Amino acid sequence: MNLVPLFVAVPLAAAFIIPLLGIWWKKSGEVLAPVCTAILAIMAIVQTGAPASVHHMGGWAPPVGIAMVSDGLSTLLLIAINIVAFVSIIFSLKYMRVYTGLTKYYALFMLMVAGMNGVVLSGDLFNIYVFLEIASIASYALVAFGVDAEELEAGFKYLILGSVASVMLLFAIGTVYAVTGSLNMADVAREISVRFGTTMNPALLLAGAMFLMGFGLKAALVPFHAWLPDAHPSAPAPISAMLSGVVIKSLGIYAICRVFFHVFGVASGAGGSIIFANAMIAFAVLSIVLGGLLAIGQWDYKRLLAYSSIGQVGYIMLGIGVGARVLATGGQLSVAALAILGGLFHLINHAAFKSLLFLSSGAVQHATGTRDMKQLGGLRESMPITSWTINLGTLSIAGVPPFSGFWSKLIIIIATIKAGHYAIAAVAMAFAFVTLAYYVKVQREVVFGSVTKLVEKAREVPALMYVPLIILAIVCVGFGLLYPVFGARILEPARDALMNGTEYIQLVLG
Amino acid sequence: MPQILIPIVVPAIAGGLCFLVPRRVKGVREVLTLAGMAWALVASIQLFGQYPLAYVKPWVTIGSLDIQFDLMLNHFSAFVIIFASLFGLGVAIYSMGWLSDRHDGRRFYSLLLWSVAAACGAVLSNSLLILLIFWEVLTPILYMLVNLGKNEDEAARSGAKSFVMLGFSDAALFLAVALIWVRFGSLSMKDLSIFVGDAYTTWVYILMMIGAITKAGAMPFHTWIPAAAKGAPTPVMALLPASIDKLLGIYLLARISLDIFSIGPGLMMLLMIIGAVTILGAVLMALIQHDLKVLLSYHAVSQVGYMVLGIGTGVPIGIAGGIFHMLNHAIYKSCLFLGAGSIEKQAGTTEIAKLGGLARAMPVTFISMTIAALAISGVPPLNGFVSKWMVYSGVVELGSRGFNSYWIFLVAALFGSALTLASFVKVLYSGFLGQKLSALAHVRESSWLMGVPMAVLAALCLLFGVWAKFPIETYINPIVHGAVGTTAGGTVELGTGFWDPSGATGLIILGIIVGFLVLAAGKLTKRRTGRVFIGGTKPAENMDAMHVTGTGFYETIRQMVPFKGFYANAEQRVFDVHNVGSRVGDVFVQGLRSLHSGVLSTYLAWSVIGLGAIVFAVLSALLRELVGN
Repeated sequence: MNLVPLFVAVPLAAAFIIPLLGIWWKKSGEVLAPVCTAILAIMAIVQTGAPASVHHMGGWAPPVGIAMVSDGLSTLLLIAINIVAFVSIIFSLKYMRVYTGLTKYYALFMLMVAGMNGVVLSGDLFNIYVFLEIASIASYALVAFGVDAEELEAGFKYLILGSVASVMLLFAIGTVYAVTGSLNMADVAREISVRFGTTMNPALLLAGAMFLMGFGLKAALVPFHAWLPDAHPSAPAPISAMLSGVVIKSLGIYAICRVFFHVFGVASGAGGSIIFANAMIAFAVLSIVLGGLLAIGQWDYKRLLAYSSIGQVGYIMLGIGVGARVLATGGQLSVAALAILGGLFHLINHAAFKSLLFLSSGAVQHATGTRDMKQLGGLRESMPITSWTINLGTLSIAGVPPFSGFWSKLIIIIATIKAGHYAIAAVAMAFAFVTLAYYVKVQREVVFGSVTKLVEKAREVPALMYVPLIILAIVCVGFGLLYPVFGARILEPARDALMNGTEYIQLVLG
Repeated sequence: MPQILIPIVVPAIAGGLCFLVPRRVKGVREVLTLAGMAWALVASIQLFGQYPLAYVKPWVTIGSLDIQFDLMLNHFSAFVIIFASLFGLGVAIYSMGWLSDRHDGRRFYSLLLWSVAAACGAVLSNSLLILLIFWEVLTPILYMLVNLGKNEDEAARSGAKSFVMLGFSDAALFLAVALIWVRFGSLSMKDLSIFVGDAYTTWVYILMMIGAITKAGAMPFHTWIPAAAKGAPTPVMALLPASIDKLLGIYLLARISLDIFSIGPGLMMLLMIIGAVTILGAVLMALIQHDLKVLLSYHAVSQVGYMVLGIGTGVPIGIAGGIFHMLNHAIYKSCLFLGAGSIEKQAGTTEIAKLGGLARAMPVTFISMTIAALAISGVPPLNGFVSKWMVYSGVVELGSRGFNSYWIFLVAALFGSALTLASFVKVLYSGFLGQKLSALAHVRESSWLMGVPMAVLAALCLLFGVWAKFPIETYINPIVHGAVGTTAGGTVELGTGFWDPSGATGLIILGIIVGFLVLAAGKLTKRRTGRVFIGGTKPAENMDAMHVTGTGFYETIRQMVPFKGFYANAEQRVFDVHNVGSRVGDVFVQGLRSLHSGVLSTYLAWSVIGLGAIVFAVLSALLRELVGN
């Protein structure tokens, strides 16, 4: 049986049923949401190693019908999205008890998951837009879920900037449709490569610019990042974990990869691809630098993590951008492969450790009632498990061997040097050090030091909250030590899928 | 298991087991620690002489990167692992006395074992990447160990500072390794031979050098050592910054400067300048310190200068002196830190002004610290003298080869040595001699667990001084022959200017005997003791008021003209890279933060500007194509 449509159908159905049942049964969300996300997570794990497949909705063949495409790249994202979603839902069970309207929360959460799964599985541009809007609108509401002034303001800013991005995307999709007469990505890609080859078409270039801006805003690349430092800290911790862990990647990075590598044919040196690759690298470096510098000055625990996400997304984008540039300029294939592998490796690593860190910050906030690092300290005595997971998460993200962040950083930097960008490699390395510095600050202020007044009364969080932390911590350590186990199964297929645009066209169109 | 893995794997596993032993179970951890350290030591000694012994295993292939677990035992690494595990064992024994009243032994012993494992791994690696991994693993271990300090706030602050500064050096090393890998396609330290000629190789060398000297603690990347001293438990200081980090840093510096890279006179000069500046700068700071641990930590910086200077001379005797000094320094500096820890445990403080007259109460600590203090000051016939003498000879020999300004370095080294003695006079006098404060009346000698490691290290100071031929011929000469042999092409005799201490030792022992005779003669005559009487009033009942501490004498130096400005700047932490870096960074951070005002329209404007930038790039490319056609 083909599991692919279920990745969208299950959460979408759950999002519908939960509030409906919620009228009579208050616990509908707390029961259904964990079950659904568990099923999704298991399905995603089962999906690894499966050959690339296309599902034609209603049996209509493309380019007329809607296709759901599952290849290596989407599988990678599916794993990240559904596992982080499962873990965050488990964490929510206790954490969200302080809020009201929980059925709405779980419904929105499932809607967001449905949207993200839809984005990574869609075979046509318009459906990407639709699912992206589903996920975005659900996340606007979830950011403002606390309905305090600060949360509403953050949600509002996110809404406005997100809508601007959506409009740009819609406009870009319309332009592409006007030029090529199709919305199916494979069909569009074939059309572009046949009709334009390496010449530049002004309309397509404009569309490309708007795609980069729109998806770049969803990915929170500098200078489109400004919504993130408000939105991510204001959301409830499990939502922060979802937003930083997977939303910015599936709606932003994944979409950029898919559109530029597979539709615009950056990899085959289509017209203007060098400009787009350069723009990716430029935004990546800006994100690395500004994200790092802004994070180091923060005293709000979650805001620091949010700025750190900007910097880390910069590293992911750097790997992919360098790969794109090498391919576009006709450089060595192995260098491009390495760069893209580094970017994708960092993508799943970041999904693991950033959601771990956000959930840990939620645990800390739950136990102490604050996220001001000046009021925290000495948690290692009162909250030993959370302290350990914070330590593992920070060591991973700071790139200390043998944890996961070290390897992806190593690959990205070596690939950048191999591509000849020495200065960029030096900047990336310098800001890897800055990352270490601000995570050492987190440890100094939160885990170590003397016990502050607020922490004195703190107790370790209940098992339903620390078990998710332990799961993610194990994943972080596993990603660092077990590359032979997962690398060939999920990372290398994703890289190969991304690099072979023609294979994608063949897969979808047959 | 291949024997080469034992010094890495056994302590690592023992550390893991220590961590798993439940908190309440007593005794098991100590046994595990001792067994792990002792096994590593025995294996290291057995390995000595069995080289070249290689162990290569494919580890992981990531994309097109083949990573091999590549170890290689050579003379240098064989010698370093022996001493790393020896210090590990010594500090482990010591810690059993030290930790007797504390409950956090679980973390402490496992981290101690892991640090020895990581150090052995780094030294045994033949692949630069494996070295980098072990090297970086050691950094968080040190950080966690510092964080076990008693004063939690101080420990957290100093631990964070050490982690950040070492993290910087790790990043530099990381970049250098990546650059080497890309350019030369190999990571094997055995095969790499890089001629430093162009900007690329110069940068690579400088980055690696930053990695090495930060670990060792040379200026300007030294400030993490005094910072760590403020917070860390004292045995940790004795193990890591004082010995293992020195061994690693100087090991890497020697490997890159003499073996992997062939560097020109310019970079050699840079090393010598770093050495000389470190010797003087740090010893001047040490002079004015009032806390025993911080004072020792500045000496731990200052002494690195001799090692860097010795290696920087590029002359066989100088190199040998530098490497020998690395070993000697590790011995006497651990001994001094262990002594400081012993004082701290018994007297409850390491502030020099609050100590006094402990010699009679703590004879083992006193004697071992005295020997170590004389050794660090370069008093013959102790080991510090021999290695310093070799470094001086190296500098002099450089002069005889036509390097005219050699005397500057010689003067710096000699002067530094004199100031070292000056500052240790303060320690010995204020700590052990003079009048005993009433607050210290209860102080007794520490347990034998703490005494034995100190005594052994002090004995080693004496042994390696008097029979310096043994360590030099067994350990140092083959390294220098190997290293210099590969780069300069030919073996070199160490004979020139070598100091033979046997005659002098005899004279010194004779002098000491005469001194005792004089003292004894003095005791035979009657002394008259009377009450203290000042200006018609009786002094306070409490004789503490009459206590004269040594620290006051050093105020004069602080006020002296050439040093006054230096100290004023140092207290503003102008010479602290960490501080300067964070101040500069803060300017950017505040600027950026003020941009993020929270005004939505500004944020929208940025997005539009971003879009505009892409569109502009696209348009200009289009125009260029149009014009081109």
